Amino acid sequence: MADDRFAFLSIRELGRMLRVGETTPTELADYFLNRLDTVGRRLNAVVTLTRERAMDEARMAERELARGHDRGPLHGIPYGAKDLLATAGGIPTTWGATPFKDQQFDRDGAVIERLRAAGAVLVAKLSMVELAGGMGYDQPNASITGPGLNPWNTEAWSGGSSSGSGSAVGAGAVPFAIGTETWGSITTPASYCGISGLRPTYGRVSRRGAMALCWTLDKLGPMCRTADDCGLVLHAIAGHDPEDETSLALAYRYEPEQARSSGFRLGVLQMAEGETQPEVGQNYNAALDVLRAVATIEEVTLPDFPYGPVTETILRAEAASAFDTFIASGKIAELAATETHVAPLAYRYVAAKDYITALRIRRQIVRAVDAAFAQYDAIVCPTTNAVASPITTRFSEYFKTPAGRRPVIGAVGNVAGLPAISVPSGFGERGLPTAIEFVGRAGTENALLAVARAYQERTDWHLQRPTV
Amino acid sequence: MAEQQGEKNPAVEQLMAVVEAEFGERLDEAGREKVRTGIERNLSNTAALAAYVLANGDEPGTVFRAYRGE
Repeated sequence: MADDRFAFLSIRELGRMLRVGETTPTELADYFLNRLDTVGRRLNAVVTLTRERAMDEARMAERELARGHDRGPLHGIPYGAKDLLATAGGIPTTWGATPFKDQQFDRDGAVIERLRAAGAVLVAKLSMVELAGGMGYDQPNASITGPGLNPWNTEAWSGGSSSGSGSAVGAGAVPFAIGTETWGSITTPASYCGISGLRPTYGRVSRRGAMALCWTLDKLGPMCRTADDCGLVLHAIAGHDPEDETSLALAYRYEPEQARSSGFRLGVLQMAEGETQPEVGQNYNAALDVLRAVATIEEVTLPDFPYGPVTETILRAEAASAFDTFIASGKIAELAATETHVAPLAYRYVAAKDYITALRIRRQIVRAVDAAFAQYDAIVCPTTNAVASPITTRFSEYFKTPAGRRPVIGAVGNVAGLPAISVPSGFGERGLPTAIEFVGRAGTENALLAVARAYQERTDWHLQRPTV
Repeated sequence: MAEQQGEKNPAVEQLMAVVEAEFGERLDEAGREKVRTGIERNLSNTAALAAYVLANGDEPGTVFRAYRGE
């Protein structure tokens, strides 16, 4: 049994221990490096341990705390970054893919820079589905590090594409991680691994230094033990970056003390019979019962748009351009997932007029969805309609319908650039976590965090620990 | 985009001919089927997008801006 004395503590709890002298940044860095090296590696969650850099950063954090220089809640807290975030100093950034295994950058990505400025300690580059899953994989063995394994059941997938970020946090191998989402890549592994994952509004967090899969859909966000921790991390990484023209000009502050804790107005989407696995549906209904103590809940109808085709057309066209040379040269055949070796050739033949048409419909979607969501603090839905698939089963077999793997709200939220948070809601088949998601209007992260905190104050699903 | 059993969609076949001309040497039968499925999916998306009525003035969600340096 692994030593778990720090493993499942929140950022706030670890921060308190640091400030009263119950632990030190170097002790935490060493502890989580060792836990990643054992538990994390067993789950195929780790690409590179950044031990030397971590201990340097931890020693600096320690010296600063000793002389009273406190950089805030993340000071001295270890974290892992999805391995598509550029890191300087000779640390490889593999994008999860063998053809890029030796790739290095000479500058940290914007998020890494911001976390360093906040005093956080980078302990690892975490596993991911190769090229963030943009080449259309159909099974979990699609990464330089092998299939991401679920901390709750190692016969199940961790989810993707932020696989290591999900499983490392879920296993208590790191207090928090940074993930990225183009279409489901933060919320899905958060759901499958029983953690809290926040997808910020498009442009809230700078994309500089992050691998581009789809410029107009890519977003970076925190994956943590609690909703409150997600707010603390978002506070540190959000903000305008002149080097990312799509980053929002609006400043972001996480201010939980200013937020409501009840009186919320929530919308729920009508679901078709059999749309979710039975346990997912039961846990969702139980979550709604909990939320009724702090919210009024009413049914909401999504405006009628071809959300899936619009999102997929944009994703395929932009990914085909981002990886054109890689796909056309045949280098793509070095990826682990054999089903992606030639299939993305089709992406090259998305008509230019279809891409533009999709962007024209998208402009209407963002306005219509904003109007539909305007009267609600959040729209609530199951994050995923099924728990994690078995490690040896193709997604197309396990998730019987496209909606089984990707509920429509995922396309809605991502194509419209809306924030969402996924939090655990219980357990389903094979002992695997289920989750609910709160989606809101652009820029409403604090409202979503307030609802999620209120839910977590009334439940203990986020406090459950896997045996690893 | 639904096809009758055994009836080939000429648009898919023409695009497959382009794929064949560019990348034929990399494709075995299984690979051809994967690419064909992807192209059918593209065309299915085309049909879904075309079914949504847009007016001439409906602009794209990504806006080009002219640029002048300092």
